[in-house]
Amino acid sequence: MLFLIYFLLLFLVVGIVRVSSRKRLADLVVTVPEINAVTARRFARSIMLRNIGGLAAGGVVLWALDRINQAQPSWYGLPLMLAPGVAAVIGLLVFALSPTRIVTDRSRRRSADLVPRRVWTYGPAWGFLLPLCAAVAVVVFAVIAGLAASTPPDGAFRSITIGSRTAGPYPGWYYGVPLIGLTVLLAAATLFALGRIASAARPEHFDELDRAVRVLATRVVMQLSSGALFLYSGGVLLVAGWATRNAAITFLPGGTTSAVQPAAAFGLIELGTGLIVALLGGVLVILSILDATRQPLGRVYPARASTTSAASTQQS
Amino acid sequence: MIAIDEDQATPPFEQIRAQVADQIRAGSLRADQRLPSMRQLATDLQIATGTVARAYAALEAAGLISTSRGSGTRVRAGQCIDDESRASARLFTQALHRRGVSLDDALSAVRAEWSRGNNS
Repeated sequence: MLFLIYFLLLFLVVGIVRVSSRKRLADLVVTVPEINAVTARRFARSIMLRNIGGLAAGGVVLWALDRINQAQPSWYGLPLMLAPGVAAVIGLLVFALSPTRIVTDRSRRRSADLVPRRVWTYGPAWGFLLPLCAAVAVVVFAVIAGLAASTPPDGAFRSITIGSRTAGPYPGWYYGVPLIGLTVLLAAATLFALGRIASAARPEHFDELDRAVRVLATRVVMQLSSGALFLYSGGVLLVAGWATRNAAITFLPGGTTSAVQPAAAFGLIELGTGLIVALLGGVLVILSILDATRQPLGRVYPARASTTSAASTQQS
Repeated sequence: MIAIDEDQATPPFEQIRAQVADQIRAGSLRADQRLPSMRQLATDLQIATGTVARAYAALEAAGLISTSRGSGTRVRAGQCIDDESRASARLFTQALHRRGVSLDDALSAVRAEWSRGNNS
């Protein structure tokens, strides 16, 4: 039931976001003159293949880690917790390392822009700063949870003790250390992918298409990495909230409960925040899939039909 | 925007150097403006990074740009020709354009008048 509500909310939010950003996305569909259509189509197809390849690689890793999690119950769900992040890292690496250059005859006269292309050139500043702040918050939370954790008899820091009650699983050091490592790895993979987008060669005759492809690719990378970050950190918050609530609440005879405050309230906040963060993560991952499968190449028009349009797409 | 033409006798590094220098002197590239990395320029122009490095080194030696590890390659301040000189150059160019004079002939005329002005 909870999953059904989650998916309903997920598709509702995705629908709202897509409708509200319809105009902005329409600007990313480029028209090219017929004379360049074959090359442009080949380029757009290679971009699509790269995007789908990255997502498929991520999907395979997600499936494999789920299987490992089922095969290794003694790892206490660690592979499942790391799955979204590891899948995103592998997906981003496949995305970044796939070649997408336009192959055309080498012209005798070639031009270049004197404006530097940086990793943050193709997206709004908040699109990079918010995920960065979220990643820092995840690391800070993992450290705090690690310090608050206690050890069950096997010695791993994956429980929390409040008063005389102990509950788990709790994201102590057992989950926290891999979580911190994964967050750093995800940030590095994101930076690498953005660097590859910015440093790719600029095609000679496809200025607008090139810009649209770079903007779309930046959106895919940032949505995928932020979505994965929010998915696993949302999951961690849910687990932490559940364990904190269980450890803070004592069930008394007669059906009444006694809660240790503020731990019980804090657990509830973690649960609520975890639900919202996981929902946001799911929304971002779906948006990245939609952007990755989006065709940047729109209508093709005859070379002499509109000189104005041609001038805007074809560099002099 | 700069362009290189392989059909020209001038080597690519000199074409890059001359175009960047012209844009700095004309004020198209502002003081402290960051230039693209050598790798970006080389990738876009489909030439060796060493060719761009040679052009940047010549521009740095001429005092037009400065390169530092932290802030990359930037245009140095005070390299732009003053507004009055640029306006004179514009008038001169427009006049020669109207008469159908080529760039090479226009530059020859400037050089000849320049040396005459220095000698007088």
